[in-house]
Amino acid sequence: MEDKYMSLITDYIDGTLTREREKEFQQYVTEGHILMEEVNAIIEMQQKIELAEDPLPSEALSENFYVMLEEAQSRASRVEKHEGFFELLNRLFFGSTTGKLAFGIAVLVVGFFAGSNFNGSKYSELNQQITDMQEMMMISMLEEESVTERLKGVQMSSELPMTNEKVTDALFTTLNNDRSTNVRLAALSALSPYTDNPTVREGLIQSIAKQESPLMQVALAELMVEIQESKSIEEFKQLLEKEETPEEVKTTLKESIDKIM
Amino acid sequence: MDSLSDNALMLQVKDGQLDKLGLLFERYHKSLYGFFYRLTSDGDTSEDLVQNVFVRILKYKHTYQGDGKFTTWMFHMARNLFADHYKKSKRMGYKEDVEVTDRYFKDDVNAESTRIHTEELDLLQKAMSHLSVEKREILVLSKFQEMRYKEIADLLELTESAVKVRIFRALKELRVIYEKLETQSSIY
Repeated sequence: MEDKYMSLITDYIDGTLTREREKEFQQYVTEGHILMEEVNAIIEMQQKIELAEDPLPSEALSENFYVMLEEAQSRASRVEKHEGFFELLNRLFFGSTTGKLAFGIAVLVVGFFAGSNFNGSKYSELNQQITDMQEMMMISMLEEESVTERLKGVQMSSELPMTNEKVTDALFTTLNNDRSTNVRLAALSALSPYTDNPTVREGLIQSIAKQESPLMQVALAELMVEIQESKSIEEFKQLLEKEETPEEVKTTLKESIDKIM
Repeated sequence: MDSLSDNALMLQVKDGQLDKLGLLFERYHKSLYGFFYRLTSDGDTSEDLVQNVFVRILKYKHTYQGDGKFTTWMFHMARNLFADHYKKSKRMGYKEDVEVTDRYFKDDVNAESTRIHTEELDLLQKAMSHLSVEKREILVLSKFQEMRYKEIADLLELTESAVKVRIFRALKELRVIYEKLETQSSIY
Protein backbone atom coordinates (compact mmCIF):
# COMPACT_ATOMS: atom_id res chain seq x y z
CA MET A 1 0.00 0.00 0.00
CA GLU A 2 1.25 3.43 -0.86
CA ASP A 3 2.13 5.95 1.83
CA LYS A 4 -0.50 8.44 0.70
CA TYR A 5 -3.27 5.94 1.40
CA MET A 6 -1.89 5.23 4.87
CA SER A 7 -1.80 8.84 5.93
CA LEU A 8 -5.31 9.28 4.50
CA ILE A 9 -6.60 6.30 6.47
CA THR A 10 -5.03 7.64 9.68
CA ASP A 11 -6.92 10.90 9.18
CA TYR A 12 -10.10 9.01 8.34
CA ILE A 13 -9.84 7.04 11.57
CA ASP A 14 -9.25 10.23 13.51
CA GLY A 15 -12.20 11.87 11.78
CA THR A 16 -10.06 14.80 10.71
CA LEU A 17 -10.49 14.54 6.93
CA THR A 18 -11.48 17.72 5.15
CA ARG A 19 -14.40 17.44 2.75
CA GLU A 20 -12.01 17.36 -0.17
CA ARG A 21 -9.81 14.66 1.34
CA GLU A 22 -12.91 12.71 2.30
CA LYS A 23 -13.89 12.64 -1.38
CA GLU A 24 -10.41 11.47 -2.24
CA PHE A 25 -10.70 8.76 0.40
CA GLN A 26 -14.04 7.53 -0.96
CA GLN A 27 -12.62 7.48 -4.45
CA TYR A 28 -9.74 5.26 -3.38
CA VAL A 29 -12.22 2.96 -1.66
CA THR A 30 -14.32 2.73 -4.85
CA GLU A 31 -11.20 2.09 -6.91
CA GLY A 32 -10.18 -0.65 -4.52
CA HIS A 33 -6.94 0.96 -3.32
CA ILE A 34 -8.27 1.17 0.21
CA LEU A 35 -10.11 -1.81 1.69
CA MET A 36 -12.82 -0.76 4.14
CA GLU A 37 -12.53 -4.15 5.81
CA GLU A 38 -8.97 -3.41 6.73
CA VAL A 39 -9.81 0.12 7.83
CA ASN A 40 -12.58 -1.14 10.11
CA ALA A 41 -10.32 -3.76 11.64
CA ILE A 42 -7.82 -1.04 12.48
CA ILE A 43 -10.55 1.11 13.98
CA GLU A 44 -11.49 -1.84 16.16
CA MET A 45 -7.88 -2.24 17.25
CA GLN A 46 -7.70 1.41 18.11
CA GLN A 47 -10.86 1.15 20.20
CA LYS A 48 -9.27 -1.66 22.19
CA ILE A 49 -6.37 0.65 22.94
CA GLU A 50 -8.72 3.43 23.97
CA LEU A 51 -10.55 1.09 26.33
CA ALA A 52 -7.38 -0.19 27.93
CA GLU A 53 -6.91 0.97 31.49
CA ASP A 54 -3.97 3.20 32.18
CA PRO A 55 -1.30 1.39 34.15
CA LEU A 56 -0.74 3.12 37.49
CA PRO A 57 2.53 3.46 39.37
CA SER A 58 2.85 2.44 43.01
CA GLU A 59 3.09 4.91 45.89
CA ALA A 60 6.81 4.29 45.96
CA LEU A 61 7.30 6.39 42.84
CA SER A 62 6.06 9.58 44.49
CA GLU A 63 7.90 8.82 47.71
CA ASN A 64 11.18 8.26 45.92
CA PHE A 65 10.72 11.37 43.85
CA TYR A 66 10.18 13.63 46.85
CA VAL A 67 13.17 12.12 48.65
CA MET A 68 15.28 12.84 45.58
CA LEU A 69 13.92 16.39 45.30
CA GLU A 70 14.60 17.13 48.94
CA GLU A 71 18.17 15.90 48.61
CA ALA A 72 18.68 18.02 45.53
CA GLN A 73 17.32 21.09 47.34
CA SER A 74 19.54 20.69 50.36
CA ARG A 75 22.53 20.03 48.10
CA ALA A 76 21.76 23.21 46.18
CA SER A 77 21.58 25.33 49.33
CA ARG A 78 24.83 23.81 50.61
CA VAL A 79 26.56 24.67 47.36
CA GLU A 80 25.25 28.21 47.55
CA LYS A 81 26.55 28.69 51.09
CA HIS A 82 29.95 27.19 50.54
CA GLU A 83 30.77 28.32 47.10
CA GLY A 84 34.45 27.75 46.73
CA PHE A 85 36.85 30.66 46.45
CA PHE A 86 37.87 29.73 42.94
CA GLU A 87 34.31 29.23 41.77
CA LEU A 88 33.54 32.66 43.13
CA LEU A 89 36.50 34.15 41.30
CA ASN A 90 35.54 32.31 38.16
CA ARG A 91 31.96 33.48 38.36
CA LEU A 92 32.98 37.05 39.07
CA PHE A 93 35.63 37.33 36.44
CA PHE A 94 34.47 35.11 33.62
CA GLY A 95 30.71 35.06 34.07
CA SER A 96 30.18 38.29 32.15
CA THR A 97 31.87 40.78 29.89
CA THR A 98 32.18 43.08 32.85
CA GLY A 99 33.99 40.40 34.79
CA LYS A 100 36.36 39.73 31.94
CA LEU A 101 37.21 43.41 31.70
CA ALA A 102 37.57 43.70 35.46
CA PHE A 103 39.98 40.79 35.26
CA GLY A 104 41.90 42.66 32.59
CA ILE A 105 42.17 45.67 34.86
CA ALA A 106 43.20 43.52 37.80
CA VAL A 107 45.99 41.95 35.71
CA LEU A 108 47.10 45.39 34.64
CA VAL A 109 47.20 46.67 38.21
CA VAL A 110 49.08 43.62 39.44
CA GLY A 111 51.49 43.94 36.54
CA PHE A 112 51.99 47.55 37.38
CA PHE A 113 52.96 46.96 40.99
CA ALA A 114 55.08 44.01 40.06
CA GLY A 115 57.02 46.08 37.57
CA SER A 116 60.51 46.97 38.68
CA ASN A 117 60.99 50.13 36.60
CA PHE A 118 58.62 52.21 38.60
CA ASN A 119 58.71 55.95 37.99
CA GLY A 120 56.40 58.94 37.85
CA SER A 121 55.78 59.12 34.15
CA LYS A 122 55.04 55.44 33.97
CA TYR A 123 52.66 55.84 36.85
CA SER A 124 50.57 58.46 35.09
CA GLU A 125 50.75 56.48 31.88
CA LEU A 126 49.40 53.49 33.70
CA ASN A 127 46.77 55.54 35.42
CA GLN A 128 45.60 56.63 32.03
CA GLN A 129 45.53 53.04 30.88
CA ILE A 130 43.39 52.06 33.82
CA THR A 131 40.97 54.88 33.10
CA ASP A 132 40.85 53.81 29.47
CA MET A 133 40.05 50.28 30.51
CA GLN A 134 37.32 51.46 32.86
CA GLU A 135 35.92 53.59 30.12
CA MET A 136 35.87 50.67 27.72
CA MET A 137 34.29 48.51 30.35
CA MET A 138 31.58 51.06 31.02
CA ILE A 139 30.79 51.50 27.34
CA SER A 140 30.63 47.78 26.74
CA MET A 141 28.37 47.38 29.76
CA LEU A 142 26.00 49.97 28.40
CA GLU A 143 25.64 47.76 25.34
CA GLU A 144 24.82 44.59 27.28
CA GLU A 145 21.54 42.74 26.74
CA SER A 146 20.75 42.63 30.43
CA VAL A 147 19.15 45.67 32.05
CA THR A 148 21.06 45.02 35.27
CA GLU A 149 24.38 45.09 33.44
CA ARG A 150 23.46 48.33 31.70
CA LEU A 151 22.45 49.85 35.02
CA LYS A 152 25.82 48.83 36.44
CA GLY A 153 27.43 50.48 33.45
CA VAL A 154 25.65 53.76 34.20
CA GLN A 155 26.68 53.48 37.83
CA MET A 156 30.27 52.92 36.85
CA SER A 157 30.35 56.18 34.93
CA SER A 158 30.25 58.06 38.23
CA GLU A 159 33.81 56.87 38.87
CA LEU A 160 35.00 58.35 35.60
CA PRO A 161 35.74 62.00 34.80
CA MET A 162 32.71 63.60 33.18
CA THR A 163 35.00 65.84 31.17
CA ASN A 164 35.70 62.77 29.12
CA GLU A 165 33.73 63.06 25.95
CA LYS A 166 33.57 59.32 25.37
CA VAL A 167 31.88 58.85 28.73
CA THR A 168 29.32 61.60 28.28
CA ASP A 169 28.61 60.53 24.70
CA ALA A 170 27.96 56.99 25.84
CA LEU A 171 25.67 58.22 28.61
CA PHE A 172 23.74 60.43 26.21
CA THR A 173 23.32 57.55 23.77
CA THR A 174 21.87 55.56 26.64
CA LEU A 175 19.72 58.46 27.83
CA ASN A 176 18.20 58.93 24.41
CA ASN A 177 18.02 55.40 23.08
CA ASP A 178 17.97 52.74 25.79
CA ARG A 179 14.93 50.44 25.68
CA SER A 180 14.51 50.51 29.44
CA THR A 181 13.09 53.58 31.18
CA ASN A 182 14.98 52.59 34.33
CA VAL A 183 18.28 52.67 32.51
CA ARG A 184 17.42 55.99 30.88
CA LEU A 185 16.48 57.43 34.27
CA ALA A 186 19.76 56.20 35.73
CA ALA A 187 21.64 57.84 32.87
CA LEU A 188 19.79 61.07 33.57
CA SER A 189 20.69 61.05 37.25
CA ALA A 190 24.30 60.21 36.37
CA LEU A 191 24.43 63.26 34.12
CA SER A 192 22.48 65.72 36.27
CA PRO A 193 25.34 66.63 38.67
CA TYR A 194 27.30 67.90 35.66
CA THR A 195 24.92 70.55 34.34
CA ASP A 196 27.69 73.14 34.81
CA ASN A 197 29.39 71.56 31.87
CA PRO A 198 27.92 73.32 28.79
CA THR A 199 28.06 70.18 26.63
CA VAL A 200 26.15 68.19 29.23
CA ARG A 201 23.67 70.99 29.71
CA GLU A 202 23.05 71.30 25.97
CA GLY A 203 22.75 67.52 25.61
CA LEU A 204 20.11 67.40 28.30
CA ILE A 205 18.06 70.14 26.66
CA GLN A 206 18.28 68.32 23.33
CA SER A 207 17.17 65.13 25.01
CA ILE A 208 13.75 66.56 26.02
CA ALA A 209 12.36 66.17 22.51
CA LYS A 210 13.69 62.63 22.25
CA GLN A 211 11.90 61.28 25.30
CA GLU A 212 8.58 59.57 24.78
CA SER A 213 8.06 58.16 28.23
CA PRO A 214 6.10 60.46 30.61
CA LEU A 215 8.46 59.48 33.43
CA MET A 216 11.43 60.80 31.52
CA GLN A 217 9.66 63.94 30.38
CA VAL A 218 8.69 64.79 33.94
CA ALA A 219 12.15 63.97 35.31
CA LEU A 220 13.76 66.25 32.75
CA ALA A 221 11.27 69.01 33.53
CA GLU A 222 12.15 68.77 37.21
CA LEU A 223 15.83 68.96 36.42
CA MET A 224 15.37 71.98 34.18
CA VAL A 225 13.46 73.79 36.93
CA GLU A 226 16.26 73.01 39.31
CA ILE A 227 18.93 74.45 37.05
CA GLN A 228 16.60 77.19 35.78
CA GLU A 229 17.43 76.54 32.16
CA SER A 230 15.36 78.89 30.07
CA LYS A 231 16.46 77.31 26.80
CA SER A 232 14.46 74.25 27.76
CA ILE A 233 11.16 76.15 27.62
CA GLU A 234 11.05 75.97 23.84
CA GLU A 235 11.49 72.19 23.97
CA PHE A 236 8.76 71.79 26.55
CA LYS A 237 6.39 73.92 24.54
CA GLN A 238 6.88 71.56 21.64
CA LEU A 239 5.98 68.64 23.88
CA LEU A 240 2.85 70.51 24.98
CA GLU A 241 1.76 70.79 21.37
CA LYS A 242 2.17 67.10 20.72
CA GLU A 243 -1.11 65.18 20.81
CA GLU A 244 0.47 62.02 22.20
CA THR A 245 1.80 63.77 25.30
CA PRO A 246 -0.47 62.67 28.18
CA GLU A 247 -2.58 65.35 29.88
CA GLU A 248 -0.99 64.83 33.30
CA VAL A 249 2.45 65.37 31.78
CA LYS A 250 1.23 68.53 30.07
CA THR A 251 0.05 69.91 33.40
CA THR A 252 3.42 69.20 35.01
CA LEU A 253 5.24 70.74 32.07
CA LYS A 254 3.16 73.91 32.24
CA GLU A 255 3.93 74.20 35.94
CA SER A 256 7.61 73.68 35.24
CA ILE A 257 7.67 76.34 32.54
CA ASP A 258 6.07 78.79 34.99
CA LYS A 259 8.68 77.96 37.58
CA ILE A 260 11.55 78.51 35.16
CA MET A 261 10.13 81.83 33.99
CA MET B 1 -6.70 25.85 38.34
CA ASP B 2 -3.30 25.29 36.81
CA SER B 3 -2.20 28.84 37.32
CA LEU B 4 1.25 28.37 35.85
CA SER B 5 2.11 26.88 32.51
CA ASP B 6 4.58 23.99 32.30
CA ASN B 7 6.97 26.34 30.63
CA ALA B 8 6.77 28.95 33.39
CA LEU B 9 7.27 26.28 36.03
CA MET B 10 10.26 24.79 34.28
CA LEU B 11 11.84 28.22 33.91
CA GLN B 12 11.42 28.69 37.66
CA VAL B 13 13.08 25.33 38.25
CA LYS B 14 15.90 26.47 35.98
CA ASP B 15 16.11 29.61 38.08
CA GLY B 16 16.76 27.55 41.18
CA GLN B 17 13.25 27.12 42.57
CA LEU B 18 13.61 23.36 42.69
CA ASP B 19 10.38 22.84 44.62
CA LYS B 20 8.48 23.76 41.46
CA LEU B 21 9.61 20.46 39.97
CA GLY B 22 7.13 18.85 42.35
CA LEU B 23 4.27 20.45 40.45
CA LEU B 24 5.61 19.18 37.16
CA PHE B 25 6.01 15.74 38.70
CA GLU B 26 2.37 15.78 39.79
CA ARG B 27 1.30 16.72 36.31
CA TYR B 28 3.31 14.17 34.40
CA HIS B 29 4.49 11.22 36.43
CA LYS B 30 1.48 9.08 35.56
CA SER B 31 1.72 9.78 31.89
CA LEU B 32 5.47 9.07 31.91
CA TYR B 33 4.85 5.88 33.83
CA GLY B 34 2.32 4.83 31.19
CA PHE B 35 4.85 5.61 28.47
CA PHE B 36 7.54 3.42 30.01
CA TYR B 37 5.16 0.70 31.07
CA ARG B 38 3.79 0.29 27.55
CA LEU B 39 7.33 0.08 26.26
CA THR B 40 8.88 -2.21 28.86
CA SER B 41 5.93 -4.13 30.30
CA ASP B 42 7.71 -3.84 33.61
CA GLY B 43 6.34 -1.81 36.51
CA ASP B 44 9.52 -1.54 38.57
CA THR B 45 11.68 -0.62 35.60
CA SER B 46 9.10 1.97 34.57
CA GLU B 47 9.12 3.56 38.00
CA ASP B 48 12.90 3.73 37.94
CA LEU B 49 12.83 5.30 34.52
CA VAL B 50 10.26 7.93 35.56
CA GLN B 51 12.45 8.83 38.51
CA ASN B 52 15.44 9.11 36.18
CA VAL B 53 13.57 11.48 33.89
CA PHE B 54 13.12 13.90 36.78
CA VAL B 55 16.72 13.44 37.90
CA ARG B 56 17.78 14.33 34.36
CA ILE B 57 15.46 17.33 34.25
CA LEU B 58 17.23 18.66 37.33
CA LYS B 59 20.65 17.84 35.98
CA TYR B 60 20.04 19.52 32.63
CA LYS B 61 17.75 22.33 33.78
CA HIS B 62 20.29 24.90 32.60
CA THR B 63 19.80 23.73 29.01
CA TYR B 64 16.06 24.40 29.05
CA GLN B 65 15.30 27.28 26.72
CA GLY B 66 11.55 27.37 26.99
CA ASP B 67 11.10 27.93 23.27
CA GLY B 68 9.28 24.68 22.59
CA LYS B 69 6.72 22.69 24.53
CA PHE B 70 7.92 21.44 27.90
CA THR B 71 6.44 18.00 27.25
CA THR B 72 8.44 17.64 24.03
CA TRP B 73 11.61 18.35 25.97
CA MET B 74 10.57 15.97 28.73
CA PHE B 75 9.68 13.14 26.35
CA HIS B 76 12.93 13.69 24.54
CA MET B 77 14.71 12.80 27.77
CA ALA B 78 12.31 9.94 28.41
CA ARG B 79 13.07 8.47 25.00
CA ASN B 80 16.80 8.74 25.55
CA LEU B 81 16.50 7.02 28.90
CA PHE B 82 14.44 4.26 27.39
CA ALA B 83 16.98 3.85 24.56
CA ASP B 84 19.79 3.54 27.14
CA HIS B 85 17.80 1.05 29.13
CA TYR B 86 16.99 -0.94 26.02
CA LYS B 87 20.61 -1.09 24.91
CA LYS B 88 21.75 -2.12 28.36
CA SER B 89 19.19 -4.86 28.73
CA LYS B 90 20.08 -6.17 25.30
CA ARG B 91 23.76 -6.28 26.21
CA MET B 92 22.91 -8.21 29.31
CA GLY B 93 21.20 -10.79 27.15
CA TYR B 94 17.80 -9.72 28.30
CA LYS B 95 15.55 -9.95 25.32
CA GLU B 96 12.19 -8.40 25.46
CA ASP B 97 9.76 -10.97 24.20
CA VAL B 98 6.49 -12.49 25.09
CA GLU B 99 8.04 -14.98 27.50
CA VAL B 100 9.49 -12.20 29.56
CA THR B 101 6.21 -10.38 29.53
CA ASP B 102 4.51 -13.55 30.63
CA ARG B 103 6.94 -14.00 33.47
CA TYR B 104 6.03 -10.58 34.78
CA PHE B 105 2.39 -11.25 34.50
CA LYS B 106 2.66 -14.53 36.37
CA ASP B 107 4.90 -13.11 39.03
CA ASP B 108 2.69 -12.67 42.08
CA VAL B 109 5.23 -10.51 43.83
CA ASN B 110 5.07 -8.00 41.02
CA ALA B 111 2.67 -5.32 42.07
CA GLU B 112 1.69 -4.69 38.52
CA SER B 113 0.00 -8.03 38.09
CA THR B 114 -2.58 -7.06 40.64
CA ARG B 115 -3.36 -3.88 38.81
CA ILE B 116 -4.07 -5.52 35.54
CA HIS B 117 -7.67 -6.43 35.73
CA THR B 118 -8.77 -7.52 32.37
CA GLU B 119 -7.50 -10.10 30.01
CA GLU B 120 -7.94 -7.50 27.32
CA LEU B 121 -5.15 -5.42 28.77
CA ASP B 122 -2.90 -8.43 29.13
CA LEU B 123 -3.40 -9.38 25.56
CA LEU B 124 -2.92 -5.86 24.33
CA GLN B 125 0.28 -5.42 26.29
CA LYS B 126 1.51 -8.79 25.07
CA ALA B 127 0.76 -7.86 21.50
CA MET B 128 2.55 -4.54 22.02
CA SER B 129 5.67 -6.30 23.23
CA HIS B 130 5.85 -8.20 19.94
CA LEU B 131 6.16 -5.01 17.95
CA SER B 132 9.54 -3.50 17.13
CA VAL B 133 10.63 -0.79 19.55
CA GLU B 134 10.08 1.92 16.94
CA LYS B 135 6.52 0.83 16.21
CA ARG B 136 5.74 0.38 19.88
CA GLU B 137 7.03 3.82 20.67
CA ILE B 138 5.03 5.65 18.03
CA LEU B 139 1.87 3.85 19.12
CA VAL B 140 2.48 4.65 22.75
CA LEU B 141 3.00 8.31 21.97
CA SER B 142 0.01 8.70 19.68
CA LYS B 143 -2.55 6.29 21.04
CA PHE B 144 -1.71 5.90 24.70
CA GLN B 145 -0.24 9.32 25.41
CA GLU B 146 -2.56 10.97 22.92
CA MET B 147 0.15 13.28 21.76
CA ARG B 148 -0.57 15.41 18.70
CA TYR B 149 1.02 14.40 15.41
CA LYS B 150 2.85 17.69 15.28
CA GLU B 151 4.40 17.05 18.67
CA ILE B 152 5.37 13.50 17.75
CA ALA B 153 6.85 14.79 14.52
CA ASP B 154 8.97 17.29 16.50
CA LEU B 155 10.04 14.65 18.96
CA LEU B 156 10.97 12.00 16.41
CA GLU B 157 12.23 14.51 13.87
CA LEU B 158 9.86 13.31 11.17
CA THR B 159 7.25 15.02 9.04
CA GLU B 160 3.66 14.82 10.17
CA SER B 161 2.65 12.68 7.22
CA ALA B 162 5.54 10.29 7.93
CA VAL B 163 4.21 10.02 11.48
CA LYS B 164 0.75 9.14 10.18
CA VAL B 165 2.15 6.50 7.85
CA ARG B 166 4.14 4.93 10.68
CA ILE B 167 1.16 4.92 13.00
CA PHE B 168 -0.89 3.19 10.37
CA ARG B 169 1.76 0.50 9.83
CA ALA B 170 2.16 -0.05 13.55
CA LEU B 171 -1.58 -0.33 14.14
CA LYS B 172 -1.92 -2.73 11.24
CA GLU B 173 0.82 -4.97 12.58
CA LEU B 174 -0.52 -4.77 16.11
CA ARG B 175 -3.90 -5.96 14.89
CA VAL B 176 -2.37 -9.01 13.18
CA ILE B 177 -0.37 -9.92 16.30
CA TYR B 178 -3.34 -9.31 18.54
CA GLU B 179 -5.59 -11.60 16.51
CA LYS B 180 -2.95 -14.30 16.48
CA LEU B 181 -2.56 -14.13 20.27
CA GLU B 182 -6.32 -14.10 20.69
CA THR B 183 -6.66 -17.30 18.67
CA GLN B 184 -3.81 -18.89 20.63
CA SER B 185 -5.27 -18.02 24.00
CA SER B 186 -8.67 -19.36 23.01
CA ILE B 187 -7.01 -22.66 22.03
CA TYR B 188 -5.18 -23.08 25.34
